[in-house]
Amino acid sequence: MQLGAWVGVYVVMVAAPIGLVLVGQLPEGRGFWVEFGVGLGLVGLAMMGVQFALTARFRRIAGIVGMDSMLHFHRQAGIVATLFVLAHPVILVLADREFLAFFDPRVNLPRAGALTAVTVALLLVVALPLARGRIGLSYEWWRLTHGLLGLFIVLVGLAHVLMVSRYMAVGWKQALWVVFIGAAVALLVNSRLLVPWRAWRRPWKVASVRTEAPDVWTITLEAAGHSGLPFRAGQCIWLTLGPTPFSLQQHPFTIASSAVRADRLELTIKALGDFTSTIGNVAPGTPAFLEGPYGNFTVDLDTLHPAVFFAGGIGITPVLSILRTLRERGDRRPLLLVYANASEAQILLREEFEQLAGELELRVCHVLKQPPEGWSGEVGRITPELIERVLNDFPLANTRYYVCGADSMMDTVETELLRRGVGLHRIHSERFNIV
Amino acid sequence: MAMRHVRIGRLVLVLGALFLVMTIVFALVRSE
Repeated sequence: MQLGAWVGVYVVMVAAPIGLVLVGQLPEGRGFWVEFGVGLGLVGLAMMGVQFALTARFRRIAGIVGMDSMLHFHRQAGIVATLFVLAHPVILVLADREFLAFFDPRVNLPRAGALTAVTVALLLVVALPLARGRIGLSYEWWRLTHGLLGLFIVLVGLAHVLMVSRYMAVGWKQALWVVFIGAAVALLVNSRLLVPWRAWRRPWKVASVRTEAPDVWTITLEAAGHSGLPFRAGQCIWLTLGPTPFSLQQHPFTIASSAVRADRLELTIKALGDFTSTIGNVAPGTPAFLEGPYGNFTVDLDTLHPAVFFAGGIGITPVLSILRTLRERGDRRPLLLVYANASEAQILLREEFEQLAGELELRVCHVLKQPPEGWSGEVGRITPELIERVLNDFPLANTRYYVCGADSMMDTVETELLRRGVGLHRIHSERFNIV
Repeated sequence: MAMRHVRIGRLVLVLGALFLVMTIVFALVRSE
């Protein structure tokens, strides 16, 4: 199923609840503005319900659009949904002051309390991701808070619809809304409880941790008593280290090893935060739990489309997995890797790339911001001029482009490729700041 | 800003506008 079809499914899921409201016998209309206010609330709640599906980590959808794009859509759609829901009471009160009674504790204390709380929850759910860095809220606690706030909002929303909406007088309409919101809650329960439970039944253990460069380690994981996790080279997983997968500590990492082996995976990790800084101290034998694989930063192994990779720093890890896999398959497609680093010491696995260049139809172009004396490679950053230069003698027809690294580098490369007439569907990108 | 993110932003804006129109049609139908 293509992207357009998924967008269609999204529209139908949001539109269906309000469409169903119009079926069957209807109460008397109350004028445009009141009905508009009611409609905004129903559409906003439906959008909120579908938000749970967007982050349910469905592998089929995430495999088409990529997790990063999926989460970006979730974030943007969440803001629109919040605007719809917040506009609901504003429009109703402006249309008729009588609606202020919903927030009046003297009229109905539990109702006023719940609606005030849900308004605060709506503002928090949008504001917390933006303010997370400034107020020092860790990713783990934010993720838990976000899930609970979302749950609270849709459950209060459902109760509100069932208790006050004149459109819900018929039993089957009530049942459909309960099923709709129930499905959203079930998706949350699935991703936070059932998925970890399945991971718990397929445990892994840390076989080794080796240092690749200052603050960069490769952690090797071995399947403990099962066949492992089949994946496509370039995909990522969510990793939990420790005795249980029911932990707040779950982090996404790209698999760096060849996709030919599913029972022994390598993750090459750079110290970029609280959790990643501790990877060097993880003891062999530590239990690990994996969820995934996810992502569409992958090479189509059934075709021989040439591929160009632009990687910056630790963004090399999915490229490593792809190149290692292609080597084991004896793949002969033309490949070009443009690999940018700050200094020579930061180039990861340089010798292996030289070997890969000998075994594949691969050319490696190193770019250094601070080159050592006598450096013969490219100097500076990846710029449009550099891209022009390196792509000049590379076959362009059907070439697929892969971009992974710092945001500024990715923006430069994507913009330049689009300027050169490369369609967005031929550009695969993986951004690390997805959460 | 990533081009893909810009396009997603535009898509969400278009969908938001579509849902707004849908809500207006709902209100018009109901207020007739």
